[in-house]
Parts: sequence; structure tokens; C-alpha cells
Amino acid sequence: MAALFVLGALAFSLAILALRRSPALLVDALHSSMRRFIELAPRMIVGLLLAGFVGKLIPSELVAGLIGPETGLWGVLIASIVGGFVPSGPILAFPIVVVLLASGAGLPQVVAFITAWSLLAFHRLIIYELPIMGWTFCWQRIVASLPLPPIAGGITMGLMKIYYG
Amino acid sequence: MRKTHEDRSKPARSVNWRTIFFDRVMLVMTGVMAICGSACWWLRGSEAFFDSFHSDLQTLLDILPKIALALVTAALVQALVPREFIVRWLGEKSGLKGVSIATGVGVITPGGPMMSFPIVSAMSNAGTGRAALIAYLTSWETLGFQRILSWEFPLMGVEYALIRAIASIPLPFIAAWMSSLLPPELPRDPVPGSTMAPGRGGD
Repeated sequence: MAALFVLGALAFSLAILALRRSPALLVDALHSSMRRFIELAPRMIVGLLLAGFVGKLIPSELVAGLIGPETGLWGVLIASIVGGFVPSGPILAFPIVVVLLASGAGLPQVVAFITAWSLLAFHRLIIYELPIMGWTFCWQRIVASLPLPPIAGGITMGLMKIYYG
Repeated sequence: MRKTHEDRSKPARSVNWRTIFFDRVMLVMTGVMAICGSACWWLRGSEAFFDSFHSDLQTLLDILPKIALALVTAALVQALVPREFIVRWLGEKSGLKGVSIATGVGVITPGGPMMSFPIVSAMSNAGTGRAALIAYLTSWETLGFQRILSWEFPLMGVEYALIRAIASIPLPFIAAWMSSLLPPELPRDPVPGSTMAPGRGGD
């Protein structure tokens, strides 16, 4: 609700700004955003349905069980791959993080997991990124992001060595 | 300015229904959705199927008004900020400066994907380069302050959350650099709505 209010206030003040410059500017912007909304909505609905079904097919507990309390670089790599396949938002992904930490997984593995999930989050990809940005941008961004989870895990390993000795 | 498709230069006044329902992305997604839906019904039962349906409907009701407002906001920002300004600071030739700015904006962007993706779309239409767009998304995804505050501080503890954030600072820059190794920017897919003439009315 708060998000809706902030967005509304932002849109309203920008609309006033545009209106003061020229009413045509405001009308144009409203018109193009309305058209964009109509065009995006069907894709987002399909994406939402798809993400929901995939979430049912791959339960989150299964994902947490895959990483386990591994340590070392190998664990970081596994966590990077597993994290990329978590098909849900933070409401389901962070409980996995809690389970991982509680079951003794190291922070580097957890960081690799969170990074992979944040960058590749399948549901966000199909609900937002694909409908809004298109295939080409999506695959290019994903390719550019592939090395990041292990890198973040590796940096975390280094930081922990410095910080905790 | 990427005018790869004829209709992009025209300020289309009507919605093109054909491109909404019969383009590649929509068809592939619908197909995969049908397969996953059937698999869900088959493997998990009709109850799981309708359960998923129900929660999707709730999510939809939650995000539709937000995405509508975010699209209006993005369109207004695009109309108000001069295109030359965006190109100069975030365009293809802006280099490390553009990537740094995009990373900073990503950190402070509040709200979920219903906020960040309309921003990305508007930035892209307004002339932001690929490297800066990828840096923005990477930064928002791994360093977004709101998620760190609302999820990681309470669930991982401040110390672990901060270590993770510090380890993630280089990521947007690495992703931007990686993207520069990819083939030069290809013409985009005909994404609906990119017919929005860039910077229209702004000058």
C-alpha cells in the first residue's frame, strides 16, 4: 500500500511538472503509457501463470536440500547454479537462505546462492524482463551475469579471511 | 536511436493487437505456460493447479495498479528529461561514468520489479547504452538498499548482510564489462510499446 502511495505521489508531481511545461506533453505521456500498459498486461499475465506453475512443480524445500552444508569453492559453484533456478520472489527465496544458514552452509555459499537467485530470478525474468525488454536484451544480460555469483562468493571468502582471520 | 522497425518512428495512436498476441515472445511463453500448467495438473493434482491460479490472481491485482503508475512515471520522466542529457551521461559512449551513475541509481531505486523495469524501459528508449542498462539491473538486483534493509538485515543479520553487500559492489562493473565483450548492440526485438517515440514532445 505504501509503495502504491509513493508511486502515486511521484507520478502526480511529475504530471504537474509536465502540465506546467505543456498540456500536450502530459497528454502524450499519459497516452503512450496507457498503450504500453495494454500491450504489456497480456504478456505479464502469461508470465505470472507460468511462474506460478513452475513454483508448484519445483518446491523450495527441494532447492535448500540440494546445497546442504557444503563448504569451499565447490559449494560456491553448486550454490551459484542452484540459486539461478529458484523460481520465486524473496518471500520464498529468503526462507531458503535462513534454512541454509541454519543447516551450516558457509556465508560464501549463501552469498553465491543469493547473487545467482537475484540475477537470474526466473519469475522476474518471465513476468517483467522478457515482456518489457525482449529476448535480445535478456540473453545478453544473462550471459554478462553468469560469472557474477561465483565471483561474489569468492570475494566473500576473501573478506571473511580478512575479517575473521 | 534504434529505429529498426518502421512503426517505431510513427507515433502510433492505436494499439496493434496483432503484435500483442502473435509475436514470438508471447507465443513461446504461452506454449511453455500450457506445458507447465498441464504438468502441474498431472503431477501435483488439480488442487495445486487452482491454488497456483488463485495466488497468481492475487499477485496480479497487487501489481497491476503499481505497474500502471510506474509506467506513467517512466513515460513522464522520459518526456521531461532531454534525450541529449541521457545520451551524454548514460549513452553507449559514456563508459565508466555511465556505468557508475547507473549503478548508483540501481542502489537507490525503491520498490520491486514493477518499479525498476519501467525505469529500465524508459532509460533504454531515452538512449541509455546497453552497458549502463545491465549495470543498473545488476546493481538493483544485488545492491538494492530496500531489499537489504527489509530482507537481509532481519534474516541474515547486519554483519552477514553487509559482507554480502560489500562483496557485490564490483558486480555491476564486471557485468557491464562482460557485456562489452558481447557482439555490438543488435536491433531489439519488436517489444510492444517501444513504438513510444523517444523524447517525443520533450523538445
